[in-house]
Formats: sequence, C-alpha cells, structure tokens
Amino acid sequence: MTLRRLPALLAFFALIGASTAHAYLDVPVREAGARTLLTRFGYGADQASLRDTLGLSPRQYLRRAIRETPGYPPAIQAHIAALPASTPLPELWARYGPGGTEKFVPAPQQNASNDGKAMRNPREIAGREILDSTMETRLLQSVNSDNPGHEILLNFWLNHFSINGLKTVTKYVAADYARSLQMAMREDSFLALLRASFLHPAMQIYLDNDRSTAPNSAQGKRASQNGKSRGLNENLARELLELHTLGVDGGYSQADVQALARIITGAGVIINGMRPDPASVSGSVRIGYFFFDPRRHDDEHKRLLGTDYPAGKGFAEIEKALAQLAAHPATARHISRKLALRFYGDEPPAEVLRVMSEAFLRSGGRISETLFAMVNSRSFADTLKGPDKFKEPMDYVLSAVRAVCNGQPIANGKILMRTLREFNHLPFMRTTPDGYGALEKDWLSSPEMARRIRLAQTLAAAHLPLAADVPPKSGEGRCRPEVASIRQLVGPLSASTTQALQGLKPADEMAALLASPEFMHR
Amino acid sequence: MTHHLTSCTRRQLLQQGLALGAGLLPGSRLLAAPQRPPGRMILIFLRGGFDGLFAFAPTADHRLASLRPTLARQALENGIPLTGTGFSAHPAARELAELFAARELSFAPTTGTPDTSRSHFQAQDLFELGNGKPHGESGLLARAQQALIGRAGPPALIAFTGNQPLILQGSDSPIEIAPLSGSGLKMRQDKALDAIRAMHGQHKSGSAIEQALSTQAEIDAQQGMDAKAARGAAGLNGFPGMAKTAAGMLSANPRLSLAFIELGGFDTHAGEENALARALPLLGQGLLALREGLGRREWQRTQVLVCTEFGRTVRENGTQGTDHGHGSLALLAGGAIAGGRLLGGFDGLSDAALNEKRDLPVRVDWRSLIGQVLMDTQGFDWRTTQAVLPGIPGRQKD
Repeated sequence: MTLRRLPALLAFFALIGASTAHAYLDVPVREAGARTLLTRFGYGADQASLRDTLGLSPRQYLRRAIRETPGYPPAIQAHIAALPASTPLPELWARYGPGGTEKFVPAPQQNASNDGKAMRNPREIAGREILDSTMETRLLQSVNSDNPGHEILLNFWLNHFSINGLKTVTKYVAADYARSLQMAMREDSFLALLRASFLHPAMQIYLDNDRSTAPNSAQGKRASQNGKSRGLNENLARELLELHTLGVDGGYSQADVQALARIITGAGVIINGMRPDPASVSGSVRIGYFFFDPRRHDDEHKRLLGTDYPAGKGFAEIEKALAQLAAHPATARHISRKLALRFYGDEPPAEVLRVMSEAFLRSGGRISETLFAMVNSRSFADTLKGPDKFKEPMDYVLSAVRAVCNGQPIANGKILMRTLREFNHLPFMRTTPDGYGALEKDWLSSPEMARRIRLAQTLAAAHLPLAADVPPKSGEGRCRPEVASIRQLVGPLSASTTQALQGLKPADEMAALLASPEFMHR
Repeated sequence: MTHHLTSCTRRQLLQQGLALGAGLLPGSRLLAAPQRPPGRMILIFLRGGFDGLFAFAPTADHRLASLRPTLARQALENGIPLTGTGFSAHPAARELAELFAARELSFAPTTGTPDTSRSHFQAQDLFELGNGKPHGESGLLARAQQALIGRAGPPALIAFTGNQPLILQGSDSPIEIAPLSGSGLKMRQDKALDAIRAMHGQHKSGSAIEQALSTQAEIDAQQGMDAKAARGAAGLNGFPGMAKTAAGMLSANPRLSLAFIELGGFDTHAGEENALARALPLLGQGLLALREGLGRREWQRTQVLVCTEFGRTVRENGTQGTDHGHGSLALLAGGAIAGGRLLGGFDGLSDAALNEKRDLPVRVDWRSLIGQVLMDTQGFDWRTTQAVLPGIPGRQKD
C-alpha cells in the first residue's frame, strides 16, 4: 500500500518543490549544477572552476558575478599589463585624441582597385596595435577569469552598448570603455550602465554625437555666418531609444528621436588644446574625456515621450533624459527580453519576461533582481536539462579552449584572436550598433559548423601552444587534453552521441566530444 | 478558348496547392515552376542604407545644389549624364554609368519598403522577410527556393556570405552558403568527422554539416581554376574578386538559379564623399566581374538586382553625411534586360514631393522589383509570386 503510493507522493512533492519560491535559486549546486552554471553563465567548466563553484547557490554565483572584481593568474595579469591597451587613458588621449600630438596623416590619393591597402602611418599602426590588444585583453580575461559570470555579463553589456573599434578615435579608447562599463556593472543598476556608456568618448564618437551641433546654438550660428554647415545628427539619439533603452517596439516616434537628438546636443569629447580652456566655459561639464559643451547645445524647450524639458537647463537635461529612459516600462521589457534571449533560451515564455520586467521595475533597474526572477521562474530549470541553447561562437571557442587547457593559464591571446576573427565574433568588431545576435538562427549555418568541427579537430590533435607566452618557445605551453577530463567537462551524453563515439581512438573521441551537440549547447 | 480553359484550371490547381500550405509552399513545385528555370536572379543587398542620391543624382532638379551643397558637387560638376532621365552618375560610379549606356542597367530611384522606423535592423528585417511585416517565419529567398524545389534538395539558392542571413532563414529545404574567404567550409575527413556527422544526424546542425561538405566540393572545383580570386576578403574591398569566383560557381552549377550577396559599409552619417567615392567603384567593378565571369550567354539569362534597406535624407546633415531616410536607389542589371531606363518615375526634390519633407518617398515597392525578376528568371506565375511575396502590389494584367 505505502509502496504503491510512493510514486504519487514523490510526484506531489516534486510539484510542491517546483512551485516553492526560491527553489532553484537558493539551492547549493553539486558537480552537475556547477557545470551547468559555468556553462550558462560563463565560458564553460574546467576542473578549477568546478571546484570553486561547488556549494554556491545560483543566487550567490550571480551576485558574485555582478558585484565582485575578478582575479586572473599572475602571469596573465602581467601579460595584460604590458599590452598597449593598458596605457592609461590620459596618455592615449593626449597622443591620439582629437587635436592630439600624433596627427592624422591622410593617406595619399589612392586608386580604389589596389585592394584598399592604405599606406600605413604611425598613428594608424599604433591604433591597430591598441585595438588588437584591447580585443586580446578582453579575450584573455574572459577565458582565464576566476569569476566567469562577471566576464560573460560584462561582455553582454559591451555587446548591448556596442561600439566598433574601427571607427576613428574609438580604437584608442575601447579598452577604457570596457573598464568603465565594468565599474558601472558593479553598481548593479541599469541606469549606471547607461550613463557609463553615454558619458564615454567611445560612444559619443562611435555614433557621431560629438559632431552634432544645434543650428540655434552659439557654434551653430557662428558656423552658418561663416558659410559652414553644422547641424543635428540623430544617430546616437535613435540608437539610444531603439537599442539601448526602449527597444524598437517601445512606442516612441520620430518626433521623440528628434527631441532626444536636441537634448543631447553639446555632449561630446574633450579636444586637446581647446581654446578657451574647457573648464572656463560656463555651463560646461567634464567627466573624464567626455565633455558637455553648452555652445553646441539646443537650449530651447523640448518634449520627450510626453515629458517636458523646459528651456535653458543645459547638461541637466541629459541626466534627466537618461533617467527617464532607464526607468521606462518599455526599457524594463526590452532589457528583460535581451537578458532572457542570452541566458534563458531563444523563445522565453511571456510569463518569464513578465516577472523579469516586474523585478526590473520594482528594484529600480537592478540587474541582479532581474536575473534572479528569470532563474527562479518555474521553467528555467527545464532549460538546463537539454540544454538547448546554441552557444554563440565566442561561448563555443572559449569553452573548448578551457576544456583542453584545463586550468593551465591561457596566455596565447594571438591564437584566440585569430580564431574569433575567423568566427566573426571578436569583441569591439561588430560593425552595426545592434551588437551580435544571441540566437541559434543568428549563428547556426554550414560555415559555422565547419569552423567548429575544424577547431575541435585541431584542439584535440594539434596540441596548440595556448598556454605559451607569445611567441612560444618550442614545445612550451602546449595544451594536451586528456580524454577522461574532456568527458567529465562535456557532461552527460545522449544515446546517439554515446553510440557514435564507440571504438574511437582517444584523439578522435576528444575531437568528436568537443564537436558534439551536447558541447555546442549550453 | 482551349488556352483560356487550361489556364483557368491551372490557376485553380495552384490555389488548391497553395491552400494546403500555411507558411511555405508545399506542393507548389509540381505546379508552379518549370523543371529548369529560364534564367537566374542575383540579389545584391547593400546593408547600412545606401544613399542612392549620391550615386545617381537628379542633376536636372535645381534644388539639388542647395539641398546637398557638398555631396552633390561632383555629380553636378563632373557627373556622367544618364541620358533621358534627368540624372547624372557620380564620377565614382563610372562603371554603373557605362552599363547604363550599354542598355544593360536600369535604375529605380525611389524603391523601398513600408518601413517607417528608419531603423537599420527593422528595415533590413522587413526587406528580407518580404511579407510587408517586421516579423515572420521565413525569408523571401527561402520561400522562392521552396517554390522552386519543394522540400528536398539539391538547393537552387546559394548565398556568398559568411553566415546565414534572415532572407535565407525558415526554409525546410537546404540552403547553400559559400563563404569565399578564409578556410571556408574545410574539415578534416577522418573518423572523428564520421562520428560527428552521426551525432548531429537528426539535429538542424547535422544538415548544416552535410551542406558544408557538398558546397566545399563545389568551391574546390571552382577555385582549382581560379585560385587567386578566392583570396579576396569578404566585404566591399574583396567584392570584385569574390564576384569573379561566384560567377564561376554559378556558371558551373546551372541548378543554382538564385544567388544572394551582401555588402556592408553604406551607413554614411559623416564624411560620405570619401566613403562612397571608395565604395562605388568596387560595386561597379563587382558587377562587371559578374558579367565577365558569367560569360556572354549566361549574362543574357541573368538579372542582377541591387537593393538596400532604405535611402537617406535628401538634405545633407551637419557632418557632411546623411541620416536615415526612406526610398532609395535600386539597380537592375543583366544582358537581356530593357536597360537604359529610369523605372518608377521621379517627382523631384520639392518639399511637396518628399516624404515628411525629409527623404524620398517609396514609389516602387521592393517586392514588385523582386517579383518581376522572379517571374522573368524563375518562370514563376503571378500566383506563385504572390505567395513568395505576400502583399506584393497587384498588376494590371492577370
């Protein structure tokens, strides 16, 4: 009797368990759960990170991801510190910022048919080195961090507030942009992230706002007297609404885009050797190398999304607009959806999005609360069972490299760069401001599968010098994967995968495991 | 009489066939298209919002000089007249003007979608979905291929891209993607690969792997003949070289009657003169490379359509560029098209003629252009064309 009723009882408790608040969120994870967390909210497991994560609850893991400074192995730290991207911003700005000492030398007039190979000048060469080492830094940090959740979330925000390093001065300041978003992330507030992005020269320059001038401003009038045309540029205003905050369905109009473009006129960057001295310009605001110049600002009345912006408030209008956008219900929906598409799955249920948006609004835009609501939703645990979220290329490449190096510090950023370039997924290289996509349909294609298989075959067989300093001395720093460890890191396999692996030699088995459907999902 | 009866019956059959399918077009293979399409469509999509008024400028309109004080200067002073249209080509668009003069190119200066968001991404989605909405299950080329071949391969559609754009997504039939740069689709043939193919067998990723293997075989066959051109990088700089390889692959594989190429670098908010003066020759050289690579006979049966997601503001902005607009330039090229013409008319640049006094109106629905090319080159009848491009404006005939 008792025995016969046991299954029903168990089912009953399972149901209770599933509906109890904070069921999954606060349960300390074991090995399988740790592997899952590191895969969904990180760049995959290795033995060390598995050990570090055991016993944490998802809530603790995510809180640490948002708030705690990551650490890196000393050799990696030293390697990064020596890269050109680690040059302090004041030094870079004085040399390469507008009006800097390293002048722009226009390339000689070229015939477009010579494959676009420009004559390189020192400024361009330095720019390329700085940009490359900025990408290298981000990749080395992402792959070697003792706080993988921090890295994947930072990369999420860098992709949300996407910039392109190839745009003029952006390349010299992209590393500082990443540091600024990283500091803002620790405040656990969407407004802090939005401000950090907007108030950085990288975003001002990338979306042309540093050049936007109100025709009715002092500089606009002077320009027209001199027969020059200076005017509004809507680029940043539009992307602020469409991509950074409300989202394309957020209910704003072309009039709102124009109002916001007018509100943010005057925002721009410090120009080296500015006369008069920027500090002496009344009503100006300087934050790092961001500069608000009231002489380019439209001081008349505006109306944004039904809110009045009385004339003559200057920079305060910008702060007011950023706060208004950050707190807008459409922003809560848009950011929740974006987080869910990255960390839940390609088709998050409406109910999950609803509880996330509510948590976002209730908490005043806390990212932690928004993610907790997602993780704590009833269906979240189901998404981990498959798992059925197709890894983005960077997820895939870094997790494969971590699995084969298994705890050896991965110092060879050059290989990572080359690989991610081939996968079209380098940080700071998305050309359009919408950032890279997060969905299977954005990435799953025949070339993508060929690249992944090629990488898996190479990693399993070639023993790449991933752990070596660059350039590697022969035989040094090679990552030699072991089949038992790869099996453990890939985790449970389906019957068809197990069957396909029958009778393979270890190197072939490792290649096949790294290219298995299980390892391509997270 | 007999003819009329036959066509009626055929239409009814089509209706029944189409009524079976909710989204895509199951069954239409048997009914709609002939075995071997009469021609080939190559669709070139310029991402970023191409400023058509820069390339082909309405120099006969006296307002042009004041609306575009710097951006129209070259066209006004050194432009190449496009005879009989009131437009002149920017000197950097010399190759395009030559095709026009040879009657192998026509242009529609006010082509576009109903997009009002002026967002790149929404407008590109609208364009690629081809159903008049910003959301949908499948891209227009995916539907066109499915109308041609049904659910089973071999593919008639090839994309020379690094990844799979929306315009190809959502088809039940396999899509062929041929990246013409980097290591492409190469994989080492070994036991691990056999195991990987077996594991992915029933997943979507499995058919992607099989497709990669067969496309690589085609690329190998072509590049054996043309090793140098393959090294061109994707993107506008490499376009002329890539176009040559693509043309070779298309000639060598007659089943490929639909091709897609995408090019970036047209979002010219600032410094537009420099950017487009570099881009336009590459575009023109790429079209000439397609013509040359296809050879005289294939060029006669090919129609190349060049489109973008939206045009840009008619007035230049404060940074010698232009902002997001509405209608834009589309180009139609081919050996047997009725070239040397302006398609869809042009109302000039007066405020009254503009959309919201800011950009060009859309007078030519992008589906009409694509639909006409599909009918000419794929042998689609009107009903199939309507099913591939829902909401396509009606025609007077039929």
